[in-house]
Amino acid sequence: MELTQKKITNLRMEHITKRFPGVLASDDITLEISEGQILALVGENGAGKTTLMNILMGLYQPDEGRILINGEEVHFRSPNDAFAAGLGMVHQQYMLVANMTVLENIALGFKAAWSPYKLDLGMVRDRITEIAKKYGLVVDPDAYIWQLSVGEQQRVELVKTLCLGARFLILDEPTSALTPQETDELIVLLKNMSSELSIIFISHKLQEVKDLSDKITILRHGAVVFEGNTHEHSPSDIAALMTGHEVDLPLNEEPAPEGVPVLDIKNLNVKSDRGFLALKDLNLTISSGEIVGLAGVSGNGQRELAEAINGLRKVESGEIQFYGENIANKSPHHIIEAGMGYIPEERNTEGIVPSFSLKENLILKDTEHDEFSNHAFLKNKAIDKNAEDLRVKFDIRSPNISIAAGSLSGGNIQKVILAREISRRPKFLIAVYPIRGLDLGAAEFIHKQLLEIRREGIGILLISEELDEILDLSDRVAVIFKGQIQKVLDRKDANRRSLGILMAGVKDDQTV
Amino acid sequence: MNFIVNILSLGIPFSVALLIASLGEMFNQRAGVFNLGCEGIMAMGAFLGMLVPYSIGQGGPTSGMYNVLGLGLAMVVGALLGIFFAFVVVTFRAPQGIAGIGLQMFGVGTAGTLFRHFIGGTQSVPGIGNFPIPGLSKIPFIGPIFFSHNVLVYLAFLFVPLAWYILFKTPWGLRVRAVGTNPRAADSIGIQVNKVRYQALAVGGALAGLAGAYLSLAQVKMFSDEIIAGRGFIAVALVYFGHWHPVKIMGGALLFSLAQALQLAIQGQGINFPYEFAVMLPYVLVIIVLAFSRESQLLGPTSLGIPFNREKRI
Ligand SMILES: Nc1ncnc2c1ncn2[C@@H]1O[C@H](COP(=O)(O)OP(=O)(O)OP(=O)(O)O)[C@@H](O)[C@H]1O
Ligand SMILES: [Mg+2]
Repeated sequence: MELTQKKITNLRMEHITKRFPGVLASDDITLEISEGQILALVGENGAGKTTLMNILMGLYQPDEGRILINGEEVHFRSPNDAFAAGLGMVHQQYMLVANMTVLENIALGFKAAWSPYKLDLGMVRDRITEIAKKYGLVVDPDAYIWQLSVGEQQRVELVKTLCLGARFLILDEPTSALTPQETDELIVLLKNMSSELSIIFISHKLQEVKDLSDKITILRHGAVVFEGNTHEHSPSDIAALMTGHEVDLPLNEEPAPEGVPVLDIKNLNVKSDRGFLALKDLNLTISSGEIVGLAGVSGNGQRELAEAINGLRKVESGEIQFYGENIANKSPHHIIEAGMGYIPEERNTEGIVPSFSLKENLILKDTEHDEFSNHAFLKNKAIDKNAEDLRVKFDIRSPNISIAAGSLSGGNIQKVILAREISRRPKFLIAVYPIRGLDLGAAEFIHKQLLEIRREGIGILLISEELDEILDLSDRVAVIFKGQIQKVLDRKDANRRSLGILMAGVKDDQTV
Repeated sequence: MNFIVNILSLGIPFSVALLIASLGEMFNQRAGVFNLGCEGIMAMGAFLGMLVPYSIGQGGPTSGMYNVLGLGLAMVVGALLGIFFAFVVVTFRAPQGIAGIGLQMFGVGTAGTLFRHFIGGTQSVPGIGNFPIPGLSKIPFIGPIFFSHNVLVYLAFLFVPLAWYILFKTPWGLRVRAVGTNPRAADSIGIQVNKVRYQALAVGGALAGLAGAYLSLAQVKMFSDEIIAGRGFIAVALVYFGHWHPVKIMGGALLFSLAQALQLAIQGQGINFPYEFAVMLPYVLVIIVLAFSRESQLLGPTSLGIPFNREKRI
């Protein structure tokens, strides 16, 4: 297809239907968006948002329906065709090659820099600088992707899409891994950009939808159930339309528990992937039956802390006392057997084995336990029953329990991990961004679950960037900054303002 | 001193077939496909390489040209076999390990059969002679070690930086690395994953064919059923050994071949050392180094062996 510079004044998807084995992912969807508009596409996990956008980008072929640009029918057989027409997409699961640099990742799509015998990286670099300046998006072109935090990767994705000259932007949950501040910046940026391009924006955070979009379309079970103008509806209206019931996020209003310290971290020093100290003499104590929220801007050592506790990262020095045993530098297996539960940040690489079935993923940590195995054999009946129960309880949307976990929607993969970790009844739980990518109904359910296991006496370290989540659930809030705990506040002393100041690195004696 | 010079000047040309084949295999694997059929393609290359000079050119004044023709034929057929392999494992997504073993048996068997049909018994060819580089080859020690070989030896070592350049500095190399590591990402940005894999397999096949022809034309100067002697499999191992990097792969090829030269020298010198152990030496060495070299997963093609299917999420 010819590369055009023509404006996209109108884009229309008509009667789109797409079936996957056992799932009707798009059910006769019709959607329209005009120049300069921002359309928010919302819906529960597994509603079919990503599928629809993949169809628009030529990644999936629809079974029925057609796409029209400026009134003319187009056929996108591959993403190349969609690029040529001026479309660009930031995917929910980042499309970056981990062992290449930011520069190389962008060069991969930047055909102008491809002469047969030489890759003109200088040209790509200039283009990145230009985009960075124009939109205020800073990325380090020479960093390897595997060195970047999830938030940084998201920014790289956006820069990549802009560098490639998209005039119609599709953003699939672009803010799910951004800090609140980064999110605000992105919203402002997108608003400014909307004067020159159209945007389809997918998010589970309804405040953003409200702030940003002009029109809103709600999907449920693959079909459009509502369309309207954003300004006519409040976020709670939208939530109710989306889930079919009022959503009420639970609060931890119970008195602080009188537990005993179970996780005691002393003078912990841990290095980051880039080799410098990510945690510097970090100290933190958590008791049974309490939720300690770890607030902080991502990249201040949260990931390293979670990995060190779970035996996934080498501890340089210091102790991690867990029920009286120092688990620093013990194997993950040992730590799991000692009763540690872990909801990791990277769900596809650390949380599940994508090619394993749903039911297998649900017992990954218990294959040696009598519950699911009989000496060398797996107890298939017990495994099936476990999976059926959890699928219903956690509302995992999947056609059956034997489907590969990797084929589930992003939010449903998250539910699989949560179902496994919570239902195992660990002695302690490290929850890293537990509701990232979940729809509101699911978030409500997960929060209730966390409060329930807390009541059973399980201590929880809740790592999150969502201050609301931390304030709703925590008994105490610890603020992490540059690898150290700035301060630990009781719930009554913690509020957005006090936390915001501490997260920015201001020591408390300066604030009083 | 002489002993050492001998080993080095013997080991370097020994390493060439391995070096060429494993650089080819490196391109395959960087693109996400491992080709265990390398051995079979090498066998075909070895047969075809000597067929041309044997049947038309036998010792004639223009035998140099026939040698070139033989090498060319080996490369073309090697590339075609690579494309055939791609058809099986890329288009039809057959399991790569099994398909590779199939190709290996096909290549070795076909080469042997054709050899008996067209050539028959043990026949040698004049092959490619040495070309000592004027001046340089006269330097003591250095000369015999580095500058007294046949042309293909020099070319093979020049191919190391060239392969590095292609892999890391050209758009095609970038595409190859991307489809081997994250084909989904490459696809989403408009790279035709399967096309790149076909190309890489064609290049890998051509190089395997050339490596085979090197054996029959330059190293042994004849064909026999056992001429490849597992070098195709060693080449595959060397790619892992060298972490998919041309320079490290060259190091591996040299290490293995020098050990082999040492082994031959030990036997030749009549040193009192059980020859069974001497023969084992190169293989044991490779296993030891493989065991101790730390795996750098981060640098390698993480989608190695996994067929690409756009509509499948995993
Ligand atoms: N490639 C695929 N193969 C099989 N099933 C798929 C595939 N892609 C999506 N599905 C199924 O289609 C349905 C819709 O998935 P989709 O990813 O579009 O949901 P979503 O609305 O983006 O959800 P989320 O908010 O969790 O990201 C799900 O049931 C999912 O399991
Ligand atoms: Mg999605």
